[in-house]
Amino acid sequence: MNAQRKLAQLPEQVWWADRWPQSTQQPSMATGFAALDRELPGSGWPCSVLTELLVPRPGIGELRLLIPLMRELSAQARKILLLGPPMPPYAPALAAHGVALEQLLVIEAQRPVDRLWAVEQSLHSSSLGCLITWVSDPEVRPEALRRLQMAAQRSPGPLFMFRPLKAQFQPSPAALRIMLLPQPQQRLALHVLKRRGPVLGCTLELTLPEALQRVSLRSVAPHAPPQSLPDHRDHQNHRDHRDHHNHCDQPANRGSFSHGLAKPLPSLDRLAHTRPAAASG
Amino acid sequence: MRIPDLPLLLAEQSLGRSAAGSPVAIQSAAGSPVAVHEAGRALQVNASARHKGVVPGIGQAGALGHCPELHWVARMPEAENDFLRRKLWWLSQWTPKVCREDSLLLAEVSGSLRLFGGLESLIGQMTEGMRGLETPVHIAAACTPRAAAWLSWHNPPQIALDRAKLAQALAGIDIECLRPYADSAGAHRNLSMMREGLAVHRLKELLQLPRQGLRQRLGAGILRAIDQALGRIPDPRSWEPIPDRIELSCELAMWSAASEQLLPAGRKLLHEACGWLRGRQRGVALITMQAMHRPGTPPTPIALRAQRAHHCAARYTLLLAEKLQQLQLPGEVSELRLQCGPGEVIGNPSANLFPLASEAEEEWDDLLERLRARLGRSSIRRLSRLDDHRPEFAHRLLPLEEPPGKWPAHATEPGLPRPIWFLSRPLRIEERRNRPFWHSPLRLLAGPERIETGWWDGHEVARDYFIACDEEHTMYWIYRERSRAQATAAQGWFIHGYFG
Repeated sequence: MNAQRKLAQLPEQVWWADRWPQSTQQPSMATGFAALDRELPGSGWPCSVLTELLVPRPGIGELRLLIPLMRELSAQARKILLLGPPMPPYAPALAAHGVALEQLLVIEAQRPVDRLWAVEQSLHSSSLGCLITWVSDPEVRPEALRRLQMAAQRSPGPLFMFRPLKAQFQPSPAALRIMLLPQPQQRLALHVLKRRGPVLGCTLELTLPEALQRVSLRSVAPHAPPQSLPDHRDHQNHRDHRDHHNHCDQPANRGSFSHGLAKPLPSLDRLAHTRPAAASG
Repeated sequence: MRIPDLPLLLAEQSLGRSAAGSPVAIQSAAGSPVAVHEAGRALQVNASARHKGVVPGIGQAGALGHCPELHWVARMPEAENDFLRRKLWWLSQWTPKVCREDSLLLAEVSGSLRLFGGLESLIGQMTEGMRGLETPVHIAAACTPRAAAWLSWHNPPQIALDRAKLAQALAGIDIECLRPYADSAGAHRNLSMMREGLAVHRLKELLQLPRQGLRQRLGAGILRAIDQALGRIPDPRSWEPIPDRIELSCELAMWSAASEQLLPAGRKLLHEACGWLRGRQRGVALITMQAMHRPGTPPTPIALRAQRAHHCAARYTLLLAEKLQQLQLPGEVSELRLQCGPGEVIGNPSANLFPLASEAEEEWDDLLERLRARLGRSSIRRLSRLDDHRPEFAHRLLPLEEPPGKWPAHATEPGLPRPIWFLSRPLRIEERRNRPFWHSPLRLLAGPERIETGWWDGHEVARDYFIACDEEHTMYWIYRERSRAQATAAQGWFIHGYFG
């Protein structure tokens, strides 16, 4: 009992390993996922520090995790830099997610030295919203990571670095390290490997934003014989009008095409994109 | 604004250059005695020459007798002229009313004081700027140009803005300052006689003498100069025109191919050019520089491009630093040249309590310029989407200078959601047991979305798009090719994107 009382009298600066640190105020930006916000220091993506996201391979939904943040930042007219993405990001998809494309820039830097330099330079800028960079090499020199972490302290926004899963065994100065694994039904599993706070034992599962919410997912019959489809070219002019009609008058119906090939054909017809009306004239 | 001992300054600079071949000479050149002569007589001597007994007015034989290692350099009026003219352009950033009087730069700043935060602040800015150009300078301010010119002989120079107290401020000036205005040999002689015979050394003592006597002895020219200095009679000046384009050059003190050696010279040039631009309230988006090499080697061009026109020397210097790092020079550089076009009119930034959006934009442009200078012009792209139903034509990665296309309001939104990662070259995958197969069999989640035709530009497509997912739950955007030409061949499956 005596020992417990003594412990309770410890000054506030002493951090209890099972609680959130109270002394430091970590500026952050909401992630857009309530479950994730609860588990992050400062209730959001931490600003001015390096956040490492470990992914098994590109394309598992890693960028959709950051979509709410990107949407928020671009709405505030703050710049988002994508440095060395593994593939070109697709503008129509980002626009559909509500990200303002004019705030987004893609930077290519081949040499790791240049990439590091570009990150450091960008983090100096006050109008930078966030910087997202990809490092495919699992073996990054620890000095380089430390330099990034130092540079991030100068920036008002968060700094994300995507790294391969192997990098989880390498020590890192990043303030937050999360491992991302894809899950069925557009969900993403998050293992928080490191955070400025108590150790998180469990895995978080988040539902990724949209992408398919307009369409209810169903397993589609994999291989319908193509011969069963009517030849659209023969009826091109008719369909032009109908297509146009559909798009203008029934916008609510546009997304509801969760049918397989086995479904009746007329509704499939609606999906067929043909040449624009202007070109058909 | 007076540049003290200008002939000497230029002589020392050129000595440093000519001695560049032998390092021993360079080191000695800094402290070695130098005398500049004109018409066979030493005009100006530096401190170490003075220490050896070489005084202005001494002949060559006498000077070399005192100091055998003396550098006896001829005065370079051309170089002085050029130097002063460039400084005058640079000075025009504070007032358009600038002119020269011998080695003196005069600027009428009464209209600019408020803008630049008062006279002390303005003088501070000028001194700081001149220090950036590595030019020592004496600045004096007075309500008449001649008084300012005389006051600038003193170091530290004084400020005399009150016309009533002008005589008091000028009291301590040496009467030698009147010599340029002597209009006859007699006046010259009498001026020397005043000092030696009458012990009149200062203007104060001269002014106490009867005016009539002064007129007889010193002539009307000197008396007029005194009256103009005291503001008794007008002293009109014609202001020098400032050119539309400038070409500056800077010889390097030491021939070098190392960027660290070139940067200081380049910085000086940019500093001068941007001062001139600021005076014209113009900015440029392109400054061209050339690195000159030994005769026979063509010069290396260096183009400094900015996102938008501006006149900030610091930003151009950063850009130059990046360029120089990237540059492969064919040899040593002897000289840097700079050309700067007329530019476009840009407003001066107005002072604001809170930083404006435009300042943040400027900072952002600055960053992009630096990134592009190092990573290459095509390294930064912006995303743009176009109204086209074919996926590969619905987006573009644009270079920065190209404006993004307008997204039409009536544009048709695509049917199925689009993937975040897009493969510009579709990845062919195989089909196993009637299913597309990529590492594992793919399950189709949604689709098909039929996208076809495009005959008007020759890129015809006929595809059925599906959203598919593999056993590890990665989602793909795949399509089945159904073009007529391949109808007989196996219907191919392709991955066209990842839902990243």
